[in-house]
Amino acid sequence: MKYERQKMSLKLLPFLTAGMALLGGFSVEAKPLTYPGGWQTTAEASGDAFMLLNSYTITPTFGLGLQNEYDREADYQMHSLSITHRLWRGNYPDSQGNLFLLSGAGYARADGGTAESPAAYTGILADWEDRRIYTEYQNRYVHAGDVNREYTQKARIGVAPYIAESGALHTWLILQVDHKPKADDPIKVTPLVRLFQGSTMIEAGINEDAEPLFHFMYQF
Amino acid sequence: MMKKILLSLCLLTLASPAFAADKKACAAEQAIATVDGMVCDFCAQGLIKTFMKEEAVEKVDIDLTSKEVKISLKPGQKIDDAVIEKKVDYAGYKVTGIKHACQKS
Repeated sequence: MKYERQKMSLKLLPFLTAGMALLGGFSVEAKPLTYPGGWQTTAEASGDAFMLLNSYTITPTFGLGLQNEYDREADYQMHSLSITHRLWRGNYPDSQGNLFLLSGAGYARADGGTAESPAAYTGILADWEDRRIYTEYQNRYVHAGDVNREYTQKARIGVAPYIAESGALHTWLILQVDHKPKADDPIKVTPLVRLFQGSTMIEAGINEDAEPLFHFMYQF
Repeated sequence: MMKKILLSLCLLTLASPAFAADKKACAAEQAIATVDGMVCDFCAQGLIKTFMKEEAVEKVDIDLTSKEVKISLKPGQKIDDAVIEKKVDYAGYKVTGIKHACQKS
């Protein structure tokens, strides 16, 4: 019965998250590859940014996607073809580690149309997890001519309060630290709750400035 | 002599249904692969979707604790260990062992 309730609540999550995403702004983050032939939709919203990514995993180590993002603090939007390359994976009996190269190229436009430019970005994402602990580090440099040039980085650590089996509801408590050197407030710390079940994952949190962060991911 | 023949016949009669039931229980095979790196449910979902594309596969169950991918085959179907290893490897994980079992019908 409890399991059925959990399943039902997760069925509603895509709609709830999409609604929240429309109300907020977003910041970029995505676990980039699924399985060969698999599609993934990722949406992320924070107090100052919004991101939507639809990606397709072509091989176990390579994927392509269409990424749209809007950064309210940096006053620009960017639309790009994202390229994900998994450089390394470590498969161990009780854990897994990955190193990804995340790049993309497209077009950026300043808010109000004051400047436009071709844009490109690159960065790495490294993660390691077992069934109890999760860690992640990600950085990115965006070069968009006169519209934006920015280096950002982010680190996360998470813990699972209980160990769940496949198909059950998985819960993680995560602490995220964002570093945006050009921002008014360069370091932001956000505690998050991650829930996932089957092919659906959501994360929700709020930072010390009372700014919300939502993250939704669905694999199909 | 007659007693021995009767006893043999009795034993055969008793053994036959058990043998038949045993054969029936093994009508469909299950391959169980132990996999390294399978620590999250997203990993599990990827492996399920990968194996469900195979014609011979009826159902896939994942046990994250025992690190096992349990591939239930359709009656009379087989799957090579090499195919299992290739598919798990292609999905991004590593097989450390494969065993085969009969599914209870």
